[in-house]
Amino acid sequence: MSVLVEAEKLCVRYDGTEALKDISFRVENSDFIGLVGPNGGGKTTLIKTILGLVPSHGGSVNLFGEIRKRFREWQKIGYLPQKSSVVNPLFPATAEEVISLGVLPRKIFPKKITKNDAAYVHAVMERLGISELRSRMISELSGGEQQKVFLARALVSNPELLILDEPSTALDPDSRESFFRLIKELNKSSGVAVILITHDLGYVGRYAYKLLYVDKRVVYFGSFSDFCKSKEMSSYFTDFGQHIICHQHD
Amino acid sequence: MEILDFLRYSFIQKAFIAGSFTAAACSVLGVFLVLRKMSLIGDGLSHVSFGALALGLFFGVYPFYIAAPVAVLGAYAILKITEKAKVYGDAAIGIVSAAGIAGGVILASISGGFNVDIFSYLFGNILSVSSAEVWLSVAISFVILLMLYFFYWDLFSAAFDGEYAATLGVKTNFVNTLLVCLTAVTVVLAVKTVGVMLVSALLILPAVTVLQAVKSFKAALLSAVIVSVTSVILGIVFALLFNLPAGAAIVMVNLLFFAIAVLYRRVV
Repeated sequence: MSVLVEAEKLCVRYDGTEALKDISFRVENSDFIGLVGPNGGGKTTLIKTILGLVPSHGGSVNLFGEIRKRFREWQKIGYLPQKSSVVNPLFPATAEEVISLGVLPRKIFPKKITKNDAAYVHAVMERLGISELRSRMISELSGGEQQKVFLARALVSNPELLILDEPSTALDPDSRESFFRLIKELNKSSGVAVILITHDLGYVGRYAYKLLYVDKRVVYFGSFSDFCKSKEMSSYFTDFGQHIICHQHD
Repeated sequence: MEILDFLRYSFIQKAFIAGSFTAAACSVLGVFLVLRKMSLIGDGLSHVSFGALALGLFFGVYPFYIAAPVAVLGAYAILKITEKAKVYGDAAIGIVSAAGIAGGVILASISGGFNVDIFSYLFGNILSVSSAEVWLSVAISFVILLMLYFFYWDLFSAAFDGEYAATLGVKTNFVNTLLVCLTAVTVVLAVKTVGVMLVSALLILPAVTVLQAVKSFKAALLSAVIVSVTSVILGIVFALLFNLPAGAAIVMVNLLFFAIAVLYRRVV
């Protein structure tokens, strides 16, 4: 089993305050990891540190066997950031232009989107059922439609690892179900590893096999079944809390 | 006098050529700057170029040769102050801008006055551009066209979401530096056209005008160039016909286009 992400004793500080301390975990191919924790617990910071968007103050991160600083194969990672951080209402980009950005990691200088790339972008849009949004401005789309466009952008590079940061916040219950079914299918049929960040503890167990609970440090990392049996976790979360996390797990 | 009669004069031909190319360069850069909420960098850099032009005059060097590198340094300083100090981008622009103006005024004061009126740069004079400045405006437009050809998707991704762009392997620091350095050189050229006080209008107005109506990024770049060049041509024509200052006339035409675009958006 190949290791896609390996974090070892990762530490992050903001203005002297510890945001993350001694975080160690690994993501292997075909993993579906639910990254959960309280608000301010460091979930997004952890992902941004792994991606090199936030500097670490200790420890190490390896991506696909490479030290993060030397890692260049960004097409292997599809990232769906938190929605609120992305959309500029003035930006005159079409859905197709935004999705085409996902092709860039495969490109060398000078980066050009070819007809083949465009055809593949269209194929991904069709797969996600958003072909009719092709020429629409991203700022004119609903939250759910935007989210599908950003998912298409993350998928268009054929990633081996998909990182989804609170992907369901803009989705209605029906869209949420179909969104997660699609992710689950990608994970099962194509072996794409998934890190799903959510604060929705009751929901994550329906899809993820593994749980990474972070509250500035790793509270738990392991399989869901072990989590649900763990007496240590039962005393940390209380029996009720542990039940809430576990009861929806298929 | 008919407008076609004016075209016989080489200084008017130069004004049209230099003005159009400078406007085209400014409008392309302006789209990126406006979308990245860096519109006022043009204002700050024009103030820096005022100080740098004074420096050039002080040492008796052709002002552009001093102003261009100093403005690039100013642009770099804005980026570094934002990145390294606990200062927001707009405040960093304010700091560098103030340093430029203060430097220019001090140089003007200690030199006891220049042969060229440094304060004429405040409002520019497109009708007095030299042949060298015409060639410079063509050259900078060509460089910006090359930048667009080679870095279009990098610039687009960094403007859309800089943080996300980094996860696509885009070297965002390089892209930012390229953008502000080209802006710095273009601003120095544009100071001659509309002056220090109005240069940011050439960067901001075409961009905000087309953003009212366009439906794609490529359309935004193309229409910004069309709006900007048309404004310069009409501005010069109005200036000649009604004996108005050309820089101010160009800005007023740009403003008119902006008002029409806002109305269009409200109606459609």
